[in-house]
Amino acid sequence: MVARSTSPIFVGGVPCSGVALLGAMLDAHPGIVCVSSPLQSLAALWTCADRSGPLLETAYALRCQDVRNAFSNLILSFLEAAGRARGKSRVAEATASNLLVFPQLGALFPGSPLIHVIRDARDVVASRLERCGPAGEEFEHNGSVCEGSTPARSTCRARAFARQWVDAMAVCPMMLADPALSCNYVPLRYEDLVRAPQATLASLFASIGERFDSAAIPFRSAVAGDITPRHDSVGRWRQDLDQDLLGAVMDEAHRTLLELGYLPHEEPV
Amino acid sequence: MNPHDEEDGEWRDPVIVWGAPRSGVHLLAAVLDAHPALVSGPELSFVSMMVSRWRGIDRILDQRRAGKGVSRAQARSAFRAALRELLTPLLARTGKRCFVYHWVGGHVELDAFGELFPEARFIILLRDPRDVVRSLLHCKWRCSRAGRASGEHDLGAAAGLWVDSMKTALDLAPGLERRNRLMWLRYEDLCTRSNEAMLRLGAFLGEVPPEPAVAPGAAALVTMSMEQAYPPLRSGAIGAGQVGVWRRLRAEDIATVEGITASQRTRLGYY
Repeated sequence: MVARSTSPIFVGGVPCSGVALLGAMLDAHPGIVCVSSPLQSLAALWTCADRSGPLLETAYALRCQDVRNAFSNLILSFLEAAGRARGKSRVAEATASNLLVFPQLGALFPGSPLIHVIRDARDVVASRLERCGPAGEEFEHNGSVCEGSTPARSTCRARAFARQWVDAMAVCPMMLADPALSCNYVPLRYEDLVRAPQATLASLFASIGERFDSAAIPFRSAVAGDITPRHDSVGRWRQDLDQDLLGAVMDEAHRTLLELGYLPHEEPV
Repeated sequence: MNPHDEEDGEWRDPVIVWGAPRSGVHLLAAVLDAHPALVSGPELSFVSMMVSRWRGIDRILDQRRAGKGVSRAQARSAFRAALRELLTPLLARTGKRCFVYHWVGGHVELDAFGELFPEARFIILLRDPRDVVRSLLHCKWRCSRAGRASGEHDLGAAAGLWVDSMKTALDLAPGLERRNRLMWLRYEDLCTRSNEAMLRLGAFLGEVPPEPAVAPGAAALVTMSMEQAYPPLRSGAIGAGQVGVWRRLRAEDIATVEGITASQRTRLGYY
């Protein structure tokens, strides 16, 4: 359980899984400011420096901890400056791709909560398909280009998004398997956040060492203005995904959806 | 005066040594490491990446202008502080004043280093491209940055690497030259007129001239790397044995190298 209430809060997840929503909700808290920073690139830099560990120790009299401190101070200087500008004492950084550097953030900030917003892959894909525009345009994902007719391209995109979701979910067991990371890892369901925001946030704030302020609902944030979680965004895939699109998602994500409890065990593929 | 004196205390902006592969960068870094005020170490690729990242962030902040949160000055100060934190233990251990950062080939943002470290001094090493190519081939050149496989003998690629490196240098140098922060040093001068080169170096750095020799410990230190397998650096007095070795190449190979490097070679005075 996270005890410190000054350590920065990091939020990540796959795109369109509710990271921005949670960021705005955190920002509505009177003691928390949600900022954007060059976090991932700096954490990746630390990884690069950390790989030179033996060299740094031998030739530069630098211990791993010294290198870690230099990089965590560098990141903090960005986060805290943004926090000071808004007059709040605690900083949250909510960017989907933070998920990719959760292990690094866990090492750099041992007291920081790492909140992973998890959403049903089918809704994520429906949301991303809507966001990425007409399927008639060329689309490239991980070096492969989706080609063919418009429906074929949409299916290709859906498959790519679902595969990305599955890959990202691999972070869950990785975080849970490492005791140093699991103690600060906070998986949070988007569906809970939307259906029962008050109870979900109360529980979340308790886990990150903050008092829940019910005055923050409805959420009014300097980052995103009024935020009204849309109940119809849960299960939207039933309206938005046709049989082909759903089939593509399930081909990729069925097993992981099952593991995460998004599918009843008897549901056919 | 360094505008960061107050925040940086005793910190002195580094000396930056750069050049194409096999141009004497390690040799000079090892020579400078023996100087009573200067200390060098193995190449640190992540430092170049940090400087490059700072440049990218600085540009974003500049575009935002009225953005809330971190200012350009704060970002610059944060990066300087991080680099200082990483290099200070070495300065403390050796009791020296200034760090010599060296970097061989590849894409380098010398101008970004210059902006982040306004008092830094730059030394770009030049070497006859024919000798560079001959040396690259002779030492079984392995250049992971250029994506070349180990032991590949590719005359054209070696010459191309020199051309690319010199293009970078020639593009970025004018900004540093205008502020008298750049010294061009020919490998040939370093090796054949060492004492004169040391006097020039001393005057440029505002220090007593270094000794024209490489200590065994420094030779091993500056060629240590987690990424590259650099050929060993000879210790002892600097010699002229590697100047003009290109004449041992076959005539057609010399012609190929001269063809590829013609433009930059003549511009830099290697006829």
